[in-house]
Amino acid sequence: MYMKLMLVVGARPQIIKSAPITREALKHREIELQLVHTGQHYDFEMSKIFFEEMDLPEPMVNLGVGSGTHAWQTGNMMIKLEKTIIKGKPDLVMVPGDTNSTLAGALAAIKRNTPVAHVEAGARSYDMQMPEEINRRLTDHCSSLLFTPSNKCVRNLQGEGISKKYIRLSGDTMYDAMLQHLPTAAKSGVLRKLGVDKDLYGILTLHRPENVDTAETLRGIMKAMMMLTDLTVFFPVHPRTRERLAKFQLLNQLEATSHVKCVDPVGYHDMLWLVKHAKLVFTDSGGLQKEAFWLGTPCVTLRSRTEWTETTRQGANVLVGSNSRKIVAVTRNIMAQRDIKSRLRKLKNPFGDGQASKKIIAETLRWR
Amino acid sequence: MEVSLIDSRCMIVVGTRPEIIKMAPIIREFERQAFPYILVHCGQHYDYNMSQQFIEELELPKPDYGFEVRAYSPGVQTGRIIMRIERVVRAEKPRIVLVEGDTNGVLASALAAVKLNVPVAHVEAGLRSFDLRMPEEHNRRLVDHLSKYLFAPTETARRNLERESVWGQIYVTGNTVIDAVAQHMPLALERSTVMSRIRFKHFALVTAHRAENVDDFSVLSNFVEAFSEAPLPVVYPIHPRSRKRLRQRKMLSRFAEAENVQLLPPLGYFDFLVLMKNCDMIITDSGGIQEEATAPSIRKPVLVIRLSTERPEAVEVGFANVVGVEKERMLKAMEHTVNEKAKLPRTSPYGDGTAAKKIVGVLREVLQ
Repeated sequence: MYMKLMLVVGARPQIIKSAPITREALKHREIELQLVHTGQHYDFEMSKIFFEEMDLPEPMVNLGVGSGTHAWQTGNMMIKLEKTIIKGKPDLVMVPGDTNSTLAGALAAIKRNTPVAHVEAGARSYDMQMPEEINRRLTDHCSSLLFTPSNKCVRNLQGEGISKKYIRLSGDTMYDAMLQHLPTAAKSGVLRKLGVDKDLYGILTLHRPENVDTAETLRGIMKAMMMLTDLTVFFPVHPRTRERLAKFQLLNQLEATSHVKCVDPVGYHDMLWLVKHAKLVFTDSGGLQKEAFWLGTPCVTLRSRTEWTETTRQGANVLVGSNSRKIVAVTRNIMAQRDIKSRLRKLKNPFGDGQASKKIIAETLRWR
Repeated sequence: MEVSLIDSRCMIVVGTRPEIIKMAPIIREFERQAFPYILVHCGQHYDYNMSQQFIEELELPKPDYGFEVRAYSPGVQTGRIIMRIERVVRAEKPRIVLVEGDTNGVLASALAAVKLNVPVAHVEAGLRSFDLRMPEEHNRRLVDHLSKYLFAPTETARRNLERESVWGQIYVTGNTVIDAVAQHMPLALERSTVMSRIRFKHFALVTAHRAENVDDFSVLSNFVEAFSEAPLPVVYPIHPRSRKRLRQRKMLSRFAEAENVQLLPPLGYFDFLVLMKNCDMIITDSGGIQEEATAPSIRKPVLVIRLSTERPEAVEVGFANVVGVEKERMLKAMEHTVNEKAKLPRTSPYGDGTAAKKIVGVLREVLQ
């Protein structure tokens, strides 16, 4: 049966999660794919480059919402998305992830009586201070079709009284994306560009408000990095983080530290390759915890909670918060374990078999 | 320790008339305890002035902020209220935002607050009809999942919330509607003259306003037939839209011929309270009236002309009976109620009229 499927993306991680779904949907003639970009990503140019890098078709529409407060952004996106839904008349609105675009897409759809499918449903950190946690939870409770990346996520949803009949264990489309893009990543030449040797460096990414918006927290993390003198740390600096580092007078100090290399943000392929060959990853991002896990690279998570407990449970990911002594101690411990990467590569992957997008599209068509 | 400092203020948001009625006892309790608060009235343009007038009629304080939202679709409406409420929350920085019920305005206000990291308290939490075609069901569920404080009217509501593992704290307080009837009935008896217009000594009072009933002509004509043949006189304050529809289909004359049916124009709250007090039974598709009917100063049997109810407590203790919208079943239920003179319980399943006191008590405690 013919089906109009509207896929709503906005922020960068959603574009990654959607790439394999888009690819799969385009294989089916019975699906009319309506790709909608909310423009939540602050920089239009950057997001265009990103679309191209992920090999995504031009979106049907870019709502150009731009940055603002969370509430303003959500409200504004809802208004514009509703108009898009009225115009596109989709049979199903699919929203991946946990951003404001995800929630706005889900809300706009249910307000028009259009069913919602949530990709990456059921992830929970149980930390209500994280805006993403609210977005995830509310989106799940708007949805008639919930695609979960793991069994743990299925259990989380059932614990909230969501009936099994709406839940589909699909696996994680981020894993699909990684498998599909690794061959291109292998050709990125990023190690040569940066002049580093395999397995001799660490990667740091940092963007969460609770880490970068308070001087004390940001200083704690930076202090730890400066203390790790025997490890070269590549730090692709998010524009927002750079601004805060300058504001808190940390940027000069950091740039004067020879073993910490502040570099411009890197693309998806370069990042995959950098993570694959890193000794370890320091991050406060959600997706990177999983990517490090799949690539067998130890992950030190600069947060106190995570929605991906599948990775911490198997010991591949450690939550350290922002305390510098703790970060340094955990890092030294990891660095002392010589065969750690080969051991991590043998761990069981609870996030599916790389066919999540296929299952999602097949189930979507069957559901119809 | 007394809390009276300005930074312990709560923000109370009201929109529709039912919200104003149920929030009124809480507002009065804030006043009585001299506990600081801000009152915000956000209304839909078509009844904003009426609601404003209603606030005055109930002798409630004038709202600190009032705005009307012109919107013709629910998505735009919700989006705009999010943006408007956000501005107020940012300007006033309340410690808690208090909302009541399940309208789009309630969802929007709660979202705006939570997106600014201001905790939300939901009055009348945990109601479920389990009918996802009702937009209110989505709103209720979403607001419950983003609230930090959940004031459940009954144990049934608490169980609904526990089954969904909401993250907020649940308090069973009773429903403020019982407080409201106790506070408003004396005012109503003093001011209303509606009984002088009623032709009957004994009668059934009818209200029907839900779209799925009055917008469906076959249901509406069932009503005409059933009420014309009813075993006791019927007083029916009819919405002009239903009246018009009946006239177009030449059904209105049936009511005119039926001696035992008295049609009235839509009534104010006080008139309605007095009619509820003086009738023999209530036939309704409203949710709130099912609760009001159980208040000690009213105590009337209720026939619910709907297929489901999110207020099963009144049914369980014998106040209400869900009879659907078929003529024969409605008639049979009316006969049964007249003949049996249903033995109604002495107390209301919705509490003893101290809900507002309990709610404000909790708020004071958590703010100290």
